[in-house]
Amino acid sequence: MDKVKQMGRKEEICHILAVRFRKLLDFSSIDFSKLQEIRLRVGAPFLIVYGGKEFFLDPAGRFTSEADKAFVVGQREIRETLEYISNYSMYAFDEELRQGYLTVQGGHRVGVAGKMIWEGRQAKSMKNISFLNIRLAHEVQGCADDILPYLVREQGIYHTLLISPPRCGKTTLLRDLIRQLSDGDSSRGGMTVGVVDERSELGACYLGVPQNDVGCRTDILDGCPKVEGMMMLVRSMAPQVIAVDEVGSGEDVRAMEYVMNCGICLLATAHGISIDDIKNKPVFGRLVKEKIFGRYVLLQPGAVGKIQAIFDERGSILFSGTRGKELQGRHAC
Amino acid sequence: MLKAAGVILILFGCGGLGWHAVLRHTARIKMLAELEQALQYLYGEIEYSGSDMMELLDRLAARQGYFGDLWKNMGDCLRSYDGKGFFYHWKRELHKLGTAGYLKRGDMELLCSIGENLGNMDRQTQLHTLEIFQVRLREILLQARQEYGEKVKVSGIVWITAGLFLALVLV
Repeated sequence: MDKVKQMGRKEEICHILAVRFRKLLDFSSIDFSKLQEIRLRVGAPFLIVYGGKEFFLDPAGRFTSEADKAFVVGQREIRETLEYISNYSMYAFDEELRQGYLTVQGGHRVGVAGKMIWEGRQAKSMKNISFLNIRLAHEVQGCADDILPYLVREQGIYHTLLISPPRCGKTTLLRDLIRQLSDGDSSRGGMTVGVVDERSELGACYLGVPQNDVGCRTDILDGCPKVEGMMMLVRSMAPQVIAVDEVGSGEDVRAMEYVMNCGICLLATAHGISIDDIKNKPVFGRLVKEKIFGRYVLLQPGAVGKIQAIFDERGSILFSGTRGKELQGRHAC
Repeated sequence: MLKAAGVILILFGCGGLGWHAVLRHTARIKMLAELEQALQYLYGEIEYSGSDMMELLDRLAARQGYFGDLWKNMGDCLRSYDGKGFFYHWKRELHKLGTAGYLKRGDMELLCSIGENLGNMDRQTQLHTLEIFQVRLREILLQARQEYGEKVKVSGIVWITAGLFLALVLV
């Protein structure tokens, strides 16, 4: 990551942290490109996930594996952090709080937990927030270079499902696919891509502007439920490709079928650990049997951004990760 | 001749002070009306677009007016992310506000409570709180408008009488 980008990333992250946390990170001279998560819990040690490993930070900002030597997070600092995250406007994040996360400038995701307030069977709000999980967005441009040739066909692309357990990089991969399809290259023209970004993870829109590069022909419906979003895009934006992240419900699948029946190519991600796992899921089983998807991209569980295999609609392997191909991208950002 | 000039100067001076008092009443009413509009704006924006405070303060600052500096400086302070809360900055900026002198103590207390209750609530509670402040402000404004004519008269009479009295005593 170049210095300018790293400075920007540092600034984005520091802006949402309480002054005390900022100082800790300053003391630690951390490389922000390797920082993946910051976990804050009242009365618990300041914990970061750095380069794939967990560390505590002591009051002097040094890495330590001993919890009792670590800096202990206080309620005051959590409250201060929340003020910054919400721009001093908790009321503006009611809906996000109900869902348990907020997206901040730079596309970073802040998961929140505390005391839920219920109204009937619906979550109304959250109070006494004491747990924050700041997941830093990683835009890895070029990470889809190697799989893109398997997805492209003469008329557009195959309907594709990216499969992996959480934290294996499927959203990052989907984002780069969107960018590359949208921009096109010398051999392949760009395509109009519609993105339903229910959790603001793909475009990471901040005040309506995507913070991630999603290509020049991409339209984003930010914060919109997937089902409604897919319908709206079909009707209003005439996309050639529609991309959605983390589909899983029966309604999602019905909306996806509607999109496919409209002649629009679909790019979607789903949680799973294998093709069989997907086949056994009630909502996806039928789609697999009916060969609706033309390509399945399986990410390797336990690794980040590593392709295990690419399958066609019959389940034949087109690409196997045993060949040692790892999607590292041309340059990590 | 000199005495006549002195009398005229005293009368003009006292009349000027009376006029100044009238202007202060007028400015207070204008400020309260501007604040009422700002609260209405905040209410509408929070209800319909859910915009955050920084965005709203910027938009209010663009309107300038008596509170223009307050909105602008508040936005700048919040952007400094210095660990101080919204209310801390609000109180400080309120006391720095040049036009705050036109307001009465009660008006300033109301302004202070508005700052204390901005931003840190869920939407429903925030709107409800703003509503309460709007009602209180409307009452104050109504009273100020009702008293305005009276105050103009009183200020005029008091200062001109004072001028006459001074002129008699001194000249």
